[in-house]
Amino acid sequence: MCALRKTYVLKLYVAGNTPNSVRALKTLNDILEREFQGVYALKVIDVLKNPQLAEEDKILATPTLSKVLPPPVRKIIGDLSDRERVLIGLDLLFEELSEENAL
Amino acid sequence: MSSSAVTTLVRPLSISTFETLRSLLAQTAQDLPRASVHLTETDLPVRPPSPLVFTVVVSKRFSALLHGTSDGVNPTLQATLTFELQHIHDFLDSLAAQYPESPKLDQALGAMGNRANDTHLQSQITLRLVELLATPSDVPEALPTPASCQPMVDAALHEQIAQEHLLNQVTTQIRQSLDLSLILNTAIEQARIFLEVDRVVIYQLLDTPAETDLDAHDTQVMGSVTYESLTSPDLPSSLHYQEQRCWQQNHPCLQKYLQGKPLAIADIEQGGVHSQCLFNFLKAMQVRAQLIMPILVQSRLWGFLIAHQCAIPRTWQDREQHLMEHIAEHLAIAIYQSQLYQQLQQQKQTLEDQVMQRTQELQSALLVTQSAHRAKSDFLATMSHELKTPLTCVIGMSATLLRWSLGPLTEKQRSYLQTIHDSGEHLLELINDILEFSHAEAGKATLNLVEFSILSLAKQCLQMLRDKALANQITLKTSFDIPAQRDRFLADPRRVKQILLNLLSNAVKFTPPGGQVTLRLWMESHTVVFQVEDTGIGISTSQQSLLFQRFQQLDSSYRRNYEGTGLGLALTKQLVELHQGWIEVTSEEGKGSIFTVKIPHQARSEVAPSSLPVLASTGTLQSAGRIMLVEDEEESASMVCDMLTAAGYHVVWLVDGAAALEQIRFVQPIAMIVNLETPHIAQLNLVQRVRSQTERRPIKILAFAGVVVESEDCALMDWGADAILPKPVRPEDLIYTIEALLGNRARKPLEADSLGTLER
Repeated sequence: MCALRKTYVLKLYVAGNTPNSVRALKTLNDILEREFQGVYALKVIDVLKNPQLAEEDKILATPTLSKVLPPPVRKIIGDLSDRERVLIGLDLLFEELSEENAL
Repeated sequence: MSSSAVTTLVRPLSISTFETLRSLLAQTAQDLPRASVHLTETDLPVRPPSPLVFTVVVSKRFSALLHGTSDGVNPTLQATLTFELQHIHDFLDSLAAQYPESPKLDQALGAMGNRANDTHLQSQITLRLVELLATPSDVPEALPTPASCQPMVDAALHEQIAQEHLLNQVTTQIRQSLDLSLILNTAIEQARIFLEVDRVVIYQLLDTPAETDLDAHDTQVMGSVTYESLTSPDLPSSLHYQEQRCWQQNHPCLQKYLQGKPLAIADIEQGGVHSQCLFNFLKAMQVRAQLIMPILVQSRLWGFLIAHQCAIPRTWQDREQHLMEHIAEHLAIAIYQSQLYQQLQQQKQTLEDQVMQRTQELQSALLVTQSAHRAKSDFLATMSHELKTPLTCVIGMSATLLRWSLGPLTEKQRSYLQTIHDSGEHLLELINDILEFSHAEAGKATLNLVEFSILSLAKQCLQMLRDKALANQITLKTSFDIPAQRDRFLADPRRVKQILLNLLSNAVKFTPPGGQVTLRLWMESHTVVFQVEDTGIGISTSQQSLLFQRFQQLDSSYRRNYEGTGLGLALTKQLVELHQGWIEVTSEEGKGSIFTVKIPHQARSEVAPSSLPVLASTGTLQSAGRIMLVEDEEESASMVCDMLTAAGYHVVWLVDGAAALEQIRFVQPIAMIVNLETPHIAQLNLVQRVRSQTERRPIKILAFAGVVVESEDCALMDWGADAILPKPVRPEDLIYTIEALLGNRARKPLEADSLGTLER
C-alpha cells in the first residue's frame, strides 16, 4: 500500500477559557473523531497566554484553526460549527463528486 | 365247441402284450422237440394282408395259435389265443388254401398231433404267462411286517428321532451362540446322555496338523483335554490332562484320523491302545471302552471327541459311531466359525488400535503445528513491536528534523530527510500489512460490524489516493449507483476500506501515466459491488490464478518498477472472505484489469454490541487513541508530537495547562503527558485533579521530570503520575513507556493470544 496514513499538524488558537473557545475545541474534537482518517497533532494555543505565538502565525481572530501539515497551510476562522467548511479546510472533504467525472 | 370256449381267448390286446405272448410262444417252440414247427406270417411266401399277424406252434405234444388283426386305428389288436387243435387246424387249412405253394405250412399241418396238449407243458406255459404279464404294480412294496417286529422298529425310530433332536440342538446352539465353550460343553453333555456313556471329553491339539504335514519329521502332536462331561462326580476327571510323550511321531492312527475315520475300542484290555502311557492313563481314568472321533476343521486335525465307557467293555454300534461323527462335524463347523469370529475380533482390535495410534499421532502433530503457529504469531507480534519502536523513532525524529526551527536546512538535507521519513513510513505500513495478514490467516480476525455510508467511505478512499494519482498523472473516475436512502451498509468499515484502498492503490500503481482508474459502485439486493477498472499493464490469463496468492508479485521483472510485498491482494482476498464475499478479476494484458468485489450485507446477529470507536488498535487505518500533552517547551513538544503521531496516536497539545481540565472532558484522551520539569503547584494540582476527575475512566499519566531524584519520583507518584521520564526525553523511552502504560506492547513472548489482544 502507498502512504495512506497521513499525519496532520493542526493548530487551534483560542482566547482564554471563553465559551467560544471551549465550543471550538469540542466541535473540532467531534469532527476529528467521526470523519478524520489520518493521525493528527493538534496544538492548542491560548493567545492570551502566548501572544507571541499568535503573532508569529499572524492570527487576527479567535478561534482560528490552522492546518500546518500537510501543505498547503489553511486557516479556518470562526467557531467551527460549519462542519463541511472545516472538513474542506482540512482537505478532508473534497468538492462534490459528479458521475464519471474526473476528480 | 364247449371245450373250445375254455381253451380259446378272444379279446383286444395291446400290441406290447401281443408281442410278449408271441415271444413266449417262440421261446416255447424252442423248448419243444425238433419235430415242432414255429410259424409266423413272415414265413409265408407272400405277406398276408397287413392287418393279420400270427404265431403258430405245432408239435405232437403241444400246439398253440395266436393271431390278431389290427383295425389300423387303435394301437390294439383283436387277438385270439387258442390251444384248440381243431381251431389251429382250421386256421392252417385256410392259410394253405390261400398260399398253396408253402412248404412250411405243409410241414406244420403234418406236424400237428391229434391229442390235446400235454398238461405239464400247458401248466409251464400258463406259469410263464403269469410271470410275464404280472405288472410291477402287482408286486407289493414290502412284505407286511410281522407283528412281533413292531417294538424293535419303534425303538429304532425313537432313537433316530432322539438322535436328530440332539443334532438339531447342537446345530441350533451353533447358530445362536458364538461362545464356543458353551457349544462344546452342551454338545458333550448331550452326547454323553444320549449314548449313555460315562465320560465324553474333547481333546484339543496344540497344533492342528494337516495331512500334508505328516511327511515332515518334526511333526509334534501335543494336546490336552479341554472339555469334559461326566456321568457322576465320583469318576476321576481327565480335565487338563496333558500328554507328555504319548503321541509318538507318525502315530499309526494319525493318518486315519486325518481322513475323518473314528477309532472304536471295545475293550482296551484287548489291545488297540498304541502307547503304554496312554494305556496307563486310560486305566487311571477307569476307561474300558472308548470311541475316538477326530474333529477336522478345514482339513486340519483340531482335536478329538472321545466317549469313554468305564468299568465294562462296550461294542460300539454303527449308529453310535455315526452320531459321534455327526456331532464332530457340527462341532468342526462351530469351531471354524469361532475361529473366524476370533480372527475378525482380532482384526477389529488391530484396526481400532491403529486408528487410536493414528489419531494420537495426528493429535500430537496438530499440537506441534498449533504451537508452531502460535509461536509464529507470537514471534510476529513481538517482532513487529520490536521493529516498530525504532522505526517510530526514525519517522518521528526525521519529521522533527524536517521542521527544525533552528537554522535552515539545505535542499539536499531536506530531501535526504524526506527520504528517510517516507521510507520509514513505508516500512511501517509493510510491517502492519504483514501483521494484519498473519492475524487474518490465523483466523483470529473478527469483524467489527458497524452501519456506515458506503458512498462516504468510497469518497474517503478516493480522496486518500488523489495525490498519488495526480503525481502519476492518472485520472480518477467514479460511477456511483447507490440511492441515498439505501446508503447504509452493515460491515466492518475498516476492512472494507482496506479492500477498496488496496484495489485502488494497486490500480494506480500499475497504470502508466496518462491512464485512468474508475471506481464503480452499485447494489445488488443485499450485496454491495465495488468495481475498480484501470487502463494499466493488465494480467495475463496464466498469471491470474497466482494473483491472490500471498508473496506473489506476478512478474519478478516488475519488482524494479513496482514496490510491494505482494501481500496486498492476498490480504484483500482474506478480508473479502472474512465478509463471506467474493472477488473476481478480468484482465487483458496491455489493456487493463477489472477487479470486482461483492460484499454481502452482514447478518445483524454478528453486530458488535457497542459500536463505539475501538481504542488501542494498531490497525493501519485507525488511530491508537488520543493523548493530551501539556507542555510549554516548543522543542520538546514538537518531538513528542512527532513521535506519538508516528506511533499512530492523535495528540492534542496544550501549550498552557490552565484549561486542561475542561479540555480533557471533551477530548477524552487515553493518556496525559505533563511536563513537571520545574513543578508548579498548579501543574501538580492538575495531575491530582485529573486523577480524581477521571476516576470512572482512568487515564494514564506520564510526567516529565527534571533531575531525577528518587524522593521527587515518589512525590510525583504520590500526586498521581503513572510513570516518570527524565528530561531530556529519549524518543525510544517515550514510545516504550507510552506503549507499556497503554498495554499496547506485546508483554512477553509466548503470552497467550497476545496478537489478539492487540487488535481488539
